[in-house]
Amino acid sequence: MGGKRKKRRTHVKEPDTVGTVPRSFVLASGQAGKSVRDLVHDFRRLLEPNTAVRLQDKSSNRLKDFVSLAGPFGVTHLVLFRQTDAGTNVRLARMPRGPTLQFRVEKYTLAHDVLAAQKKQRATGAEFKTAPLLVLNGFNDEKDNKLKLMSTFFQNMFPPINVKEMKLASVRRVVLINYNAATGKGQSTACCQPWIIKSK
Amino acid sequence: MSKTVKKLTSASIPDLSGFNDMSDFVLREDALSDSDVDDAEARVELGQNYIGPGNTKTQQRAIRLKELGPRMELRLLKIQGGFCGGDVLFHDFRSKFLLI
Repeated sequence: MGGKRKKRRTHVKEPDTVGTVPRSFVLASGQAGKSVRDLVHDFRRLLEPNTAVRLQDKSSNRLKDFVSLAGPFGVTHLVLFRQTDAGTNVRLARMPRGPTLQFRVEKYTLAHDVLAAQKKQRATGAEFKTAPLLVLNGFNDEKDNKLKLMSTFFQNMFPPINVKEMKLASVRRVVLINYNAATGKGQSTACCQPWIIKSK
Repeated sequence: MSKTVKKLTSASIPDLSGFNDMSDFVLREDALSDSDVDDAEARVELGQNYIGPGNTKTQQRAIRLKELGPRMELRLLKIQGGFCGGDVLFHDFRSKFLLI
């Protein structure tokens, strides 16, 4: 009679998010210097919590090792940094069938340096337990198909939001991706920056 | 009025020991960065409770953004149809690839 008591209120099992939320692997392929390896860690931090933050990658690992793991873990996106003599490139790929977007990282600032430049440094931690909001700017050129593809790709990298059901308290960060179309000699670039939301 | 000027005109005198000149204090980058706009404009009414003291439902609060990093500037080189391969749909250097 009776049976074992179950804690239903405090021990609620989190729903399995495989297949409903995009997940990612962020890696550096080949030989990468310290700054690029730091950038990989920073980018994982940006994609938290739906990414493998402590993903171990050894030089003996091949790309297909991660691809074969992607299926069972429900990983949908791969971010691959590569340092070359000409500069640092990053490939964003949808798994398992593509497409793949390859970018040149023209400039970057590590999270450590951004924080060091701020006078008041805030302890962070809880902000990374929920996914960031994504704000895209400058991608609304209807005729430009590559812009459309880019914006759809970025949107699919982050979990979809449901305005009716979401809790305001779960919105702690915002990732802004701003597209600057080429003017004169300059190149068209997409600028990516994460921010913390503070209410006071 | 900027944040630093506001600080100067307030009752308490700010600590200026770390500055050589008055302009260093008024024009310092830190105070001008981020989304520091005038308080009245940035105020919104909270629809739900939020994290932090005083952030309860229907309160008028100022929303601020603080940069986190990393900052990245990306230039699109190539779009391929498959996973790390496949048809080249777009290439920045070779304009003959313009399938999209």
